Amino acid sequence: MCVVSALGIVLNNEVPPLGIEILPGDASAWLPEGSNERPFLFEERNLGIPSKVLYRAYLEAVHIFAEARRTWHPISESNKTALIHSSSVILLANPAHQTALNARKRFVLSKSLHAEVDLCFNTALLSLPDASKQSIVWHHRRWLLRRLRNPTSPLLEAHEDTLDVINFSVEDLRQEFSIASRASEVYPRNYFAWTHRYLCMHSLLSTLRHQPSSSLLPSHHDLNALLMEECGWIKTWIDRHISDYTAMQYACQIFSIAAGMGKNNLSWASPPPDMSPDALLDIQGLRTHAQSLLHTYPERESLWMYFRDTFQMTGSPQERLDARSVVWGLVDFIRELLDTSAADSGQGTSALDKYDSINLHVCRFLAWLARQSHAIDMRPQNPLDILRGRCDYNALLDTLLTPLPQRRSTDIIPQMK
Amino acid sequence: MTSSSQLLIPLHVRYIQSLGENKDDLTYHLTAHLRMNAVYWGLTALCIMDHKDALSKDETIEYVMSCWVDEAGAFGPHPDHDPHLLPTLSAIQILVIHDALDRIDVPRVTKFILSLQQPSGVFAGDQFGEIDTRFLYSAVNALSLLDQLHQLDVEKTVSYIKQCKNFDGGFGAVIGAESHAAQVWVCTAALAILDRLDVIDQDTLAWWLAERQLPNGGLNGRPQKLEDVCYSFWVLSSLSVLRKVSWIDADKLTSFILSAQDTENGGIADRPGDLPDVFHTIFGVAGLSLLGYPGLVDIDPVYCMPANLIESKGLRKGWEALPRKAS
Repeated sequence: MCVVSALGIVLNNEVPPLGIEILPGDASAWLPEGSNERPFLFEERNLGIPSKVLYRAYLEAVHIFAEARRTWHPISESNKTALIHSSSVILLANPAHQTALNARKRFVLSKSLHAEVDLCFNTALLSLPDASKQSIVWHHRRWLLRRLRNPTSPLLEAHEDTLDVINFSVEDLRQEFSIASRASEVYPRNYFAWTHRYLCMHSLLSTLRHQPSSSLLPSHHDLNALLMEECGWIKTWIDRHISDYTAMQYACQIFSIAAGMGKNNLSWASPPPDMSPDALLDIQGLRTHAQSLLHTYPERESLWMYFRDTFQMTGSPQERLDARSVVWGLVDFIRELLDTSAADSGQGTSALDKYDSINLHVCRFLAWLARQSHAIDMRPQNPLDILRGRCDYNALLDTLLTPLPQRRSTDIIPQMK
Repeated sequence: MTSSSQLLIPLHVRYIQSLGENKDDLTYHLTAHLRMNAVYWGLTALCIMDHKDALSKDETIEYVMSCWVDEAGAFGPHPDHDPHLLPTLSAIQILVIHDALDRIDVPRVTKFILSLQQPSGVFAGDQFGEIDTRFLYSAVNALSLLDQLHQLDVEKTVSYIKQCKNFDGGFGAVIGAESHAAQVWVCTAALAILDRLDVIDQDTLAWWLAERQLPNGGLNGRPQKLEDVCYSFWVLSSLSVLRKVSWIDADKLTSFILSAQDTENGGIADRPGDLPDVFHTIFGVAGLSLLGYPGLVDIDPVYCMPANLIESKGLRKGWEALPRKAS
């Protein structure tokens, strides 16, 4: 039996691998002699393939796949098996291979490949860093989920890749979150893992908003509990991944939607409910979270952007930012940051880099704050100065703090250094 | 021997020429799924370096046509690969560059493209329905080059982009997705083609884009990510459309791009020290062109194609790059 078939059998059955790892080197480094037909490790449902074995198998799989496709009409059972096996090996080495993924979709549609088996393969595939950053692998997952969890939905074909057509059970949602988290660990700032997570959350919120309580559907109580759990979870994730701005903007998105003021309200049958005081508290909590992290890590761009986003979440555009009231709350914080970093700057190169970094971010933040305010006319001479962190902080802070009625509307901020 | 303080054009031309040869079976087969895109990247890079004829026109056109999938009325990335919007756009762009658009069945390709628009206005990449603002841009660009833009529901298309606008003024791949410089470019360029730049908070977006520049001069694609040469194009071209390229420190970015060249074998990498590839080569060269690097041909930042070609087709939109330096 060739390696492609041996791997294909492991990857495409009802007890598939839970995780896959590509091991460095060749079979001889990992396996005893005589393992030619199965030159890979499969223990406790973890598959380990030496990379040289995988890439040899890939070349073989590509030829098998091409040959089997040429004899598609009519397709024999052996050709079906060859295509299913070879497509899975192709995707292990090259998860961007759209045609291999499409072949599997066709087999799911013709029921030659069970959707649940393919979903298990997809779960295992997403444990690989390269696969976890491919948009097509995540899309394929949602394509399968729609077919498995809501096969009679009229939106199946015109679905726009939403998961709102599915009333996920709490266990199913937890599994999707777990897969997204794993992918975000193996490949940090994982764009498509976080998008998938967002689509799952959107589905949960859609169920909460639209579905009447029914014994057939997950209880609203359980879904609400999961929502609260996720709101707490995301803050813990951010604490542990302080450069992960993708997670931070996800937090702002879901807090916004949960608070009933999400701008992306396509799925709501009726306008979102008014924001409750509790929800406002949650958003303030997010801002406090961002600010507390900035105290400890003021050199991190991600945290400054997180901080900015929390100001965008409240109120109407007109009310959104009264720069003066915001800066009153921040002035001590900013002055303390600048003083601390100035004091540290005499302590070697990395401290100097940190000092420069803090100055840069404070400068950009204050300029951003001034732009958000409708009350201040701010025309720096050269944006490049701000972008490089050259800024007269005290003058800028003082101007931002000046009470509005005492300033003429034609006043212009003093020139920045 | 060779310094990386200048653009090593002859070396990069040879690098692109050598990509057509089978270096080894594995590399060829690991990249077949994006071969059509790669041909377009290589050809465009050659055009910007003023070496358009370094690859055979006839062989290129023959390759493009070998990827035609008649049942779909579209192109795949490689013979016997499934048709998709991305290689279809690249095929059209290659044929336009070679003045061979007559090889395309325009009505059928137009029908394929339009069939991929979803109710919300976004486009899918193929019949299986993955959606992304990249595909929206590909559709708008392709229809524009085929002179079929009048068949597009512009309001519906624009309304989707509006919904992708995030807190920071940027755009993501889909509604709710994080702002990302490449997605910002596709949304900005699509809006430019559709004459709907009013959708953008131009000042807010320009600041977000300019904040992508790191102290080492390179640009990243999202906050707190590493610099990468390809953002030299995505960010700069977006800023060109917003007429704010001057907000980037041009000298520092130029040095960064040049330092990512492979000075032995040619090609440009994502950052200094890494292996080059044709993707980063085109976007590095395109970025330098927008920065006014001497000796390069103007690139149109909306279409990512030679500017004079786009202008000759009457498709040029308002944008502004840095003036070309004499030397």
